[in-house]
Amino acid sequence: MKVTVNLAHPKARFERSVYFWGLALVVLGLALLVRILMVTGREVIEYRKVSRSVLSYQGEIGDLRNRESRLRASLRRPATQQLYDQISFLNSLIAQKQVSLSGLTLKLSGLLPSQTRLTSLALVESQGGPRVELSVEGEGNDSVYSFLSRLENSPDFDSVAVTNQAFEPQGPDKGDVTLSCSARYVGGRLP
Amino acid sequence: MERKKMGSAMSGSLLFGKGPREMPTVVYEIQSEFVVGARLLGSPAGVRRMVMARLSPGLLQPSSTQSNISDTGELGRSLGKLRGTLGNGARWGLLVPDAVARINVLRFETLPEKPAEVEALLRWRIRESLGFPPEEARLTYQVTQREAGSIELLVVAVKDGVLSQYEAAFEPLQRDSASLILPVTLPLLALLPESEPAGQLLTHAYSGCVTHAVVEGNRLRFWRSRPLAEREPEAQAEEVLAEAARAVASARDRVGIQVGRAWHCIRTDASEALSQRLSSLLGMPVNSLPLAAQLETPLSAEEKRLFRPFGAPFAAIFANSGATA
Repeated sequence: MKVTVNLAHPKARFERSVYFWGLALVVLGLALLVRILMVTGREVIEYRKVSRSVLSYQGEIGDLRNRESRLRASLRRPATQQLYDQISFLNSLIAQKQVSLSGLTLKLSGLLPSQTRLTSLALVESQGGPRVELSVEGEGNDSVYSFLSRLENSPDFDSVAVTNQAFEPQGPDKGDVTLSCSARYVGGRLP
Repeated sequence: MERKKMGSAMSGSLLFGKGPREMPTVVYEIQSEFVVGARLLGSPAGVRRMVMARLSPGLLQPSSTQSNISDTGELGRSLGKLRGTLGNGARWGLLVPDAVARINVLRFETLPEKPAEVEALLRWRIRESLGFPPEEARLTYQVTQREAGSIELLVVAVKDGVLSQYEAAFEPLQRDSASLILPVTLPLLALLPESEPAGQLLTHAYSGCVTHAVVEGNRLRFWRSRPLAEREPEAQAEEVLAEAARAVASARDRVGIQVGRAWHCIRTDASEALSQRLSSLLGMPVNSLPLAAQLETPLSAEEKRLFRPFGAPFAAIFANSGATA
């Protein structure tokens, strides 16, 4: 009697095939995962580099802001502010072409007698227009009074006022007279 | 004879009916006392290598419903030693104890067309004899007789969990699953001559078990398998004789088959004496199953000594596949 029954489970062979291909897929999946991890690792390293660079730049920006703050604070000090105001004033005048410092100096130099010299000059803003404060020093009263007279007669200045007069009684500059005065400068106005 | 495998549409690993080329190249037999393996040559048919190993007592206790193997790892190691001698086989077979399987001969007037419906019908018919839920059965059957209005099937059922235990022992050894699994006595039926008009009785005693089968032509008419309670050879022989008498009586009374010829395959210590006493009991010559002498030609002298008591199932596989020496 020929026997043809068989209890071998054909499905087991199929399952083993599935297992084999499943294993292959797992290996491929792992390889893919490793590849992804490597790429991700490189990206992370690159990101950290960029992040460090950004932090470095942010630090530099912070330092610059601190310096800016310090500079702004120094600019807000009264002396600097005053200088700034003066510069602003001068700049505004220059911008309006109402006054030329070189022209002013030239005009004052023209008024000075030979025995006198200009020792200080300041241009300040006032309600009536630019005001000049100056000091001259000369040998004796005549020279400085001559300058004062010329100043009063000059068409470029008016409202001349003497603010101080000093006489040097001794020393190497004995006899020198120092005169401080102020005047409104009208010579720079545009016609 | 038609052959059907239940529960799956895949049939690529089927063995029989496809000639020697589909025969497994390595076959293992696992019994409670030993494991034996053989490497088979297809053409010319012959057993190339053969090796056997004894198993520890209690390691394997055949049962159709309970766990069979107490230590799969130890069994696997014993099988590994066999595999070291036999080598790997892409197609390999496994012979398990008869006690693992439920053998049924069923008759139907007609069968459904769809295999799934046939399977459901068979599960329903054998549910009482299984001893476990029918949906847990691994089922295979072959048509043994088809007449007008009558179909006779040989149905073999094994609890899937039990068979999986045996398969699990091979998992570390074999890349592919077994291409052939059978209860060990079933292939022996191929060694009985089909031309014999009378009923033929086969007594197969081995490893604490005895199985009796009565075949008429190419039909299995009677099957009975039971474990041997006795351990002593003489007591076992008495038990086998009593069981043989019961088988002959049952075949005559229940199936109406008169046994006209008897065969034995005694693979216990009491083989020679048992053969003579069987003849006396049955009142007819009881011959040893005919094994083609050429099958053992490639074996060494030591392996030939192993082939004589253990080689019958392997010779039966050649007979089933149609391979000739």
